Amino acid sequence: MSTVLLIARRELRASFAGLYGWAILALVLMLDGLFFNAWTLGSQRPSSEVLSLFFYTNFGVTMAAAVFVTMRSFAAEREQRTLVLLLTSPAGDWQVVLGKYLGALGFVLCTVAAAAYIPVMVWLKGNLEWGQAAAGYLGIALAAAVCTAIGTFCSAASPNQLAAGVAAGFLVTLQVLFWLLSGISDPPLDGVFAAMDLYREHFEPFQDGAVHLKTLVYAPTVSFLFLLLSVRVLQARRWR
Amino acid sequence: MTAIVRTDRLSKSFGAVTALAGVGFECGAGEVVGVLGLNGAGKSTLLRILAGELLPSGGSVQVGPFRLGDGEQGDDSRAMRSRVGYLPEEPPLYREMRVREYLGFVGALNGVARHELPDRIAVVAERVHIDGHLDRVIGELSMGYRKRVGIAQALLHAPDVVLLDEPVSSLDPAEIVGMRELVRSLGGRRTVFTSSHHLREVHETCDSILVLHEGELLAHGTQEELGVLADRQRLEVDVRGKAVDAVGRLPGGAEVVHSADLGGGVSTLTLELLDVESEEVAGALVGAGFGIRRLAPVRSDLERVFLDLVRGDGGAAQASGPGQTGETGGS
Repeated sequence: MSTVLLIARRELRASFAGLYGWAILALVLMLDGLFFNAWTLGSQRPSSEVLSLFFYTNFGVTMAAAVFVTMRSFAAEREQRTLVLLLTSPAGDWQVVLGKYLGALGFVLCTVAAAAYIPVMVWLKGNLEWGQAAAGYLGIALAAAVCTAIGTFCSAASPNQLAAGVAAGFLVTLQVLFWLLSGISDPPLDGVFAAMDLYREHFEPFQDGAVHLKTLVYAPTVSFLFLLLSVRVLQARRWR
Repeated sequence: MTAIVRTDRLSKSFGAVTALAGVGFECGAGEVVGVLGLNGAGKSTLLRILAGELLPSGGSVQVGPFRLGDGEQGDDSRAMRSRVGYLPEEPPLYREMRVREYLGFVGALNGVARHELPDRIAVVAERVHIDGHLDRVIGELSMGYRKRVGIAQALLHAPDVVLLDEPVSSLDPAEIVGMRELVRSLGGRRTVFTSSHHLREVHETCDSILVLHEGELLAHGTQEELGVLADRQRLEVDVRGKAVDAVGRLPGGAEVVHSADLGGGVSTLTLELLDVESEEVAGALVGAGFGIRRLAPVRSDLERVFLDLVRGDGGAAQASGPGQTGETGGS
């Protein structure tokens, strides 16, 4: 476990060491602030609706942040030829993947935490429901976990950062468009697609304060699947 | 000699391209081994397999008690990696980190206990002469110092085997001299593999040499052993008499490389012995009435040994192009 945390800590520090990480953080804050300003400030919406709208926009911004953060993960190390340091160390492939995943997820959650001033404003000026806030943040964390795992896999499998970003963007977008596929599919596929949809099926109840057990199973399962694929990619590269 | 590194029929293919084909050798503890070959000979692939970055397609590799290959690609891979320090041609450095922070990270990654790290870093930094640069950002260092930091990370966990892939590439002449001394000093306590296509580096730093060509191991031995192989084929003879007459009396299998009259009734011949021994040459000349003034095997340099070995493999050295062949002419 210490090796995983060691790699995660370095990954997290590296995100804050360069302009790239700060640019992502600034972009997240700007988008969250702009949407909050446009949709809720000056309106007469109840606090619960304001909070729900905040989580709605924060969900999308966090997904995008996860793509931008993870596209560098393995692909940048490969481009800078530093990945060999991890691959020739006694660390196992699972430890390397988990370390990089947790580091990236840590940074994504930092961007989520940075926008927490908005719920604080709702608490100060309105009537914040703590249960809804907790459920919303749990939903955001689960969605971030899924998107970061997808991005980690794409970064491990892609030859460069751009390809990793495009692939992750496509797969993450697909995650929230499964409901469209479910609408045009016949049974039993429609049910399968609906169950896989990240937003409507899984996150939407959380932003309104409802915690669903199925999402607590879905998010770790999908995350594990993509991390397993990432490990397989690393192993395949040793054999190639 | 106790072998610390052993390969047996080691092979590696990348799709249809065979990078290594049936390479087998043993190296003892404390040896400095030069891995010599033209570009594309398989040097880096061999080191990457020894480092654990790649797994062999066939055959096996053993470092200490740990063995990989021939169906044993199990947990030994991680154990093997803990015994090896590796510097690729491009040092794997995180440029945003300071040297001390980077070495701390690599040391911890390789299992060095946290309380031991400061001392280990200090010792290794002094060894590779970067002790005055520990608090500098890696991205600000010259290529020579980056290579030294790269070697420091490879030594930090006190591995039994150190692998250096083209350690002098991209260095200026002063840095090359320093690196050469450093590589030389690493031997004795640990086995060092250093790959190069610069013959002078290998000649001046290594105890033994592996010669690779197109993925195959052409020769393995000390410089003396490889030299003897080649010297057996070349002979210099000074005889009393005219060179042209002496050439006519040579036995079959002795090919004249050079002949000249030295004056004073003495001439010299340089012969390539194909399937004849030097005693037979001497006997033939004496029998024909030529007094032999001097008869000596020609001591060849590493460059000729290398080119002889490579050209003996179907003339591939010539086929590899003048640029590549020129690179080997550093000796």
